[in-house]
Amino acid sequence: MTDLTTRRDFLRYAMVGGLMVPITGVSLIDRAYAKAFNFITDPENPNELEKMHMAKVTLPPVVEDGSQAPIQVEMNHHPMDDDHYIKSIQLVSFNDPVQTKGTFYLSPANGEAFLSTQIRLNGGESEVWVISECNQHGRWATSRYTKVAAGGC
Amino acid sequence: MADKIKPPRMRLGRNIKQDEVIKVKVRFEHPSFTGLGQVDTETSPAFNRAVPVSFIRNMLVYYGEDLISRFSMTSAIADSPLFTFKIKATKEAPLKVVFVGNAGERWETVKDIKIS
Repeated sequence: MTDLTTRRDFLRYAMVGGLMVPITGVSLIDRAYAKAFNFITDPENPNELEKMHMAKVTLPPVVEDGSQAPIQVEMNHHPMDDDHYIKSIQLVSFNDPVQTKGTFYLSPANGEAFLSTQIRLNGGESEVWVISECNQHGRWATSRYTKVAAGGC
Repeated sequence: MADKIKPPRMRLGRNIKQDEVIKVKVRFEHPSFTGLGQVDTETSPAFNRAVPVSFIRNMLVYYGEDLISRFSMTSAIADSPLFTFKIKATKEAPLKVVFVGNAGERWETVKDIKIS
């Protein structure tokens, strides 16, 4: 075993160790973030798993009144069986002062993952994220852009 | 903005068949407001608390005795929203939708699912 008794050696190893902690930390966070959400890599040509978890989001490209923005989320390719179903659908827009709009928790008794409602969006360009959670395959995120003429927040 | 609260109303399709997945529409006339007012777009934060917040916090869906869905909302849901969702008609039972306001008030609407 190497003797680390000299002050110079101790400082050298401490510096290398101090650098390694943040580097590995960042890498782990990135990996954790990547695992937290699944994305459809190619929406034109999805594989079977992606097709099953692809949410069909209907949001007008231009919303006149931001206090009544209609949104519809449909996942009719996904089964709603006791052992494999969509647990929740969450609506989020990061441009707004109130970012999370709501979370709809589902069960197999719903028969199909479907939600239609109206949300408030801030004025200007907005990206609305829809995060659906499958009990077997985790969270899937997709987004739609819209332009809001009159902000509704 | 809706001025006053009216009881929620539910609409179901007719001629429901066994194990059919049906659409349920629920309209609830309830004023919803984030309570935020825009101070100045140049400053940060651009919003402050202008008036007391008012919104529907939860929508609970019961089919018979079972809680089958729950919609947890924030003040960023629109005024007097129309909610549409689906359920699988597996049995003849009442479908009850309960709304809970941000101050804990409760409203509900019930319709019987009859299988033809």
